[in-house]
Amino acid sequence: MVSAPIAPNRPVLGIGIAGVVLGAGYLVQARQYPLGSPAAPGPGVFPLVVGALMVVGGLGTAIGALRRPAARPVGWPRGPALQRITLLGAAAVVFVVFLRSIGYPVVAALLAYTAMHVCGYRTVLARLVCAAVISAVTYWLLTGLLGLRLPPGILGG
Amino acid sequence: MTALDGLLDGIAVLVTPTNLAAVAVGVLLGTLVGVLPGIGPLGAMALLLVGTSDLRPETALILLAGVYYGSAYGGSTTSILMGIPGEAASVVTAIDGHRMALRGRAGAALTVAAVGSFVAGTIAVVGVMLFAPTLAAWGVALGPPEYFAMALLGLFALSRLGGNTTAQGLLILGFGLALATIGLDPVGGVTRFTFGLDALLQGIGLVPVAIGLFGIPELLEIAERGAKAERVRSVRWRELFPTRREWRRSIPAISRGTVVGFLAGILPGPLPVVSTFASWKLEKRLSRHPEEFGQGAIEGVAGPESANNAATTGQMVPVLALGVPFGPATAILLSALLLQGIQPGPQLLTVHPDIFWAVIASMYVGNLALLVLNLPLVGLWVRILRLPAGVLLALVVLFVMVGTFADGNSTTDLVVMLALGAISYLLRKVGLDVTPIILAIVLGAILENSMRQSLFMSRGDLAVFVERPATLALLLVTAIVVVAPALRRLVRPSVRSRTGPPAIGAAEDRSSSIGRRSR
Repeated sequence: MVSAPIAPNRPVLGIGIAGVVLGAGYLVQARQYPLGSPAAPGPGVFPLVVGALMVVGGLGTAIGALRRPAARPVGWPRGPALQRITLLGAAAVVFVVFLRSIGYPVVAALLAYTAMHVCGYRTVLARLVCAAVISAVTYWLLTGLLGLRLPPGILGG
Repeated sequence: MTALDGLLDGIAVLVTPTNLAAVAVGVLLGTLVGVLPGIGPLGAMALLLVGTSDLRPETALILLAGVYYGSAYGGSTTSILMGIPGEAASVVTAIDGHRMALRGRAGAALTVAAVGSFVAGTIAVVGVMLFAPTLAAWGVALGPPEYFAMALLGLFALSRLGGNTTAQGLLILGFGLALATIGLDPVGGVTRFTFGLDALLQGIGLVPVAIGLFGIPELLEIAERGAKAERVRSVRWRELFPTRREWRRSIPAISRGTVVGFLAGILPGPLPVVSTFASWKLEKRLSRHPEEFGQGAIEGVAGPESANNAATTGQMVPVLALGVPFGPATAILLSALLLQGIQPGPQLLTVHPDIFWAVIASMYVGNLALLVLNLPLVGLWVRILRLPAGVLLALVVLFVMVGTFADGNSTTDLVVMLALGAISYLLRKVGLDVTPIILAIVLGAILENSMRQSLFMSRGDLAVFVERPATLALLLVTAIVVVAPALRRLVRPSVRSRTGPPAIGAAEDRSSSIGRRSR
């Protein structure tokens, strides 16, 4: 009886290949730093070792993925779940990009609203009110009590 | 002057309204910043440093030291309740502590963490008091080859956490070490892998890495599930107390964690973080129920939390006895002395014994204050879970973002956090554990620095790594750790060894503490 071929663990195979590519790119960059001498190793020595480690680890991971099937299928998010993750991720990116220009109060309110939205918190109005309150209270707590410097942005001055 | 005489003098200095207030404020503030994910002790201490110039030297040190070891306890609270580590050293507690919370044992986990921290911290203070000069001298006697071997052993021994295969562990370790090389080269000051970005000159910070690797995936998984706002069952008073069986299992773990942590703390480097992982592995290896680790084993909370607090206290040894900070937090403590015009170093004990012993006395009082104040406040922390899921998620997300931003006032840190968060989420989905990355960040600079210094010392002769007995022994142990899994498979091919917990968040039945069903 002929046994069925082993299906590769595609996600782990992808990670292994990505590791090899990343490690190779890292090695290319690492070669630009001086190696020095055995008695005075330069800043390029350690990165060469690290890059080799990544390439070897990536190869081993890829080979292992070809030889061993996945223990269980990966539960990638789909449909509404993917939308929720995308929404929260996008709000986080907006927070980072516009933090200094628009300011913490506005981007924090947007991020808070999005977080409540993905959790299905009550109504749109309730989310808007809560987001504004959370933004204002956290801004006061963090800047007033803890003395952190947060950009006030368009609401400052 | 005997140690006891010194301690009594220190108590006399400590027992003033100002200094006692400094203890209370320090531990409470430390617990608060430890609880809030992202806003770590370093940020709080750095902010307070400016204000300490108006205080007396011993008061300044007492306040900052209180924040330092208070945060060690506070970080465990967020790890247990939310599965999001409040600081890097609380990462391990999130593994089993959060699982206990999901089973309704949050109070027990928090109590064991509090008591373990108190016991470990108090015993460690005794160690500081009695053995500071001797222990510091032993630590100084170790050279770069020993530090290289220790760092190598730590990385390889712990790289297979989470069930990663050897190859996967090497890949993830390599990735972490690559991150550690970004910025200024520790020896020559050459900029590496910054690609012209000034923001990367100082390298990748530990806070964005820790939050990105462990906090962001949690939040993404909550969003993925779309946790609904459900009432969380209130925790009754009696649920705050561990059962007799839980105490029986915790006490030996607390004892061992104290020893592991204290020994790690007195050595150079951010070993408190490593000591928590080492304690977890030790407890799993010694446990009669190793299968429970990663699923809510109480030893997985008791041991690492005790190790963390003991190591945090142990780090006071070199800074008080030698004036040498072995971590960023103790560097800030030292800065407080310099701001006061006091020269730290071995002469601190003889020239300013009042400061030396007052700080040690404050650590006894501070540990007691942590236990007395935080056990009643456990109910308050647990009640946080009763907030609607959406509101809780909004607060946690904001604190995570702000905490990372505030660490260096840099949006680059936020970018790093989000990028690592996305990578960690993907890796966890396919069953890989990302814990080795943070170990590599912590130990990478030590590894490279000590390697290069060793070769400087020996003028390029690699024999320096085998001529010294301690180095040779450590390297042999490392080799055994690397080849042992392969040997085990050769001897027992039918049994696949598992040396670590399931990857954090990879278990299909994992559910978040936010939006738990009411029972």
